[in-house]
Amino acid sequence: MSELSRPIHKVADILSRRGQTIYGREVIVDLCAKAGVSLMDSFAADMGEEDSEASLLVFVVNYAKQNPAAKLTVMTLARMHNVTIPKELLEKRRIFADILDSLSEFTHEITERLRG
Amino acid sequence: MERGGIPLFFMKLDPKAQDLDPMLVSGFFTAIQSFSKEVIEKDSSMFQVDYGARLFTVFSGDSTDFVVVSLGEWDSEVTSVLKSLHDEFESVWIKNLSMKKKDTIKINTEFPDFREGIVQNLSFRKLSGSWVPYTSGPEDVRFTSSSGIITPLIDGKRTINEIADESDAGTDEVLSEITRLWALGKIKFSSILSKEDIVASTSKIDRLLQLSSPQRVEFERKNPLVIKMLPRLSMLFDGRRTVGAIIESLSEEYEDSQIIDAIDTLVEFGAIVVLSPEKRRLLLVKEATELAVRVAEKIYSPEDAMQFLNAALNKVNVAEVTGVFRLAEQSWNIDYDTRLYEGLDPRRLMDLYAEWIKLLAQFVGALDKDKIIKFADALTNTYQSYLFRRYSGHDLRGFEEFSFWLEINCVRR
Repeated sequence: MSELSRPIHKVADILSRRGQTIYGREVIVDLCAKAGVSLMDSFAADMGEEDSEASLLVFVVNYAKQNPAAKLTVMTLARMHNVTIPKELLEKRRIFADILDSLSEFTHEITERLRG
Repeated sequence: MERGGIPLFFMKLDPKAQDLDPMLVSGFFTAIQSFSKEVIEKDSSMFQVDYGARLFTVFSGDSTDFVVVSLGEWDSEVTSVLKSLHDEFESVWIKNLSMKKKDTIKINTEFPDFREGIVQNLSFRKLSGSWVPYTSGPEDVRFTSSSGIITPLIDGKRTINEIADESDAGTDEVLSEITRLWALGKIKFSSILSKEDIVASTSKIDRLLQLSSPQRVEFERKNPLVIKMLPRLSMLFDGRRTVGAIIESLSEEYEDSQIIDAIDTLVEFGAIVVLSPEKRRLLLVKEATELAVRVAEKIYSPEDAMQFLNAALNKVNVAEVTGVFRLAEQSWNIDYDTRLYEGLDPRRLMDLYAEWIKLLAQFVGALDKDKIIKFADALTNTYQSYLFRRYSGHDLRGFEEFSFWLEINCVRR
């Protein structure tokens, strides 16, 4: 197995492997085809090392759009591997302001860490 | 350390790693070693145990074991460097040491030449320019002769950046000299906390709050302002607030620098500690659980959420987890006091982390699936607005397991 050198590649690789056990192989194959990336767990493919950064990102974003939990997974993995979370995933819908208010005293405002 | 768990040599390469105690590490390691020896090949000279927050790498030599505790991914390039340092330690430094000598070794300062070798061979955590070095311990010849250029500048007031600016030597030279002095135990740093750090009080703070205690009298003589600030401050060291949040909440009464100085002084005294990587991850999962229940109260109803929570609590049989929930008729809360973890080793802490993740998973599993997508959506947004702003990528390690589990629950409705 070749070393996964690019962070976005690592994230995409984890998603494609774990995603198959959650959604089934077909769903992931489909997401890969739409993004134009090779299926990363396939032994025939060369671990997608040639996949472009842009197409891997498309795969990751499309994965996140499956449901809100998938989005949470993508955001978590992106933070862990230092990948900037794509802007289109950062749109927030309704949140419960009173829950956040009750926690605001524990953290300080760090706008540069908000990433958008 | 010697076989059997007696530490012979201890050196920290990260000034911020305050909680790492050599006795704790060696005792803890002896425990894993006896277990590992059965699982791992007998002659393997190096093995690693990953506890999620920390990686323990163990080199077995002829008469000693060398344990390297690190954060993040292992850099394979350092393996050979560490091996040769270990060889040198065995063949040069402790070779002819008597038993009696070994028992009286000062593990934090002995073998200064070896320490210098380590500094030259390994790159340190980058010192931050805002840290303030100060001298500690008696000066000796080695200190003054080889570091004459910068020694006068180390006055406990200047930051590393200021020393580099004022010194004739180049920045790299200044940094390596400061690193060397620190490694030799000649200097320490203050102002090393950053705003993202979370601090918690220890039982030592009680002595400072008790009017009758001699420690308080002594402390007040040197730090009258800190004692004056203490009643306000002590409430804020709750193991949840960041240093930044503490500064903000007192900013109307005190200057930022006064608050930072007070926090520094209390860290030095041991009355407060910075949360270790394990404790940060425990805090994260506790807060994640609280948020999940609060969100469920809104999406379902408070009664339903309580029912789901009770179902989950019934499946987790660990007192350190279930015991922190205070459940009353109309309300509930989680006790965040970190003193619960005092004296627990990193392995136990990571066990507890796993139990918390289990509880969170059980809670999600108990939810009615008709509104699970709505719940996941609200939860993701809440985490994004709070957890992701507070915690680093490092803190989030392992949390993706919960997220995958939530995905499964969203799919298998």
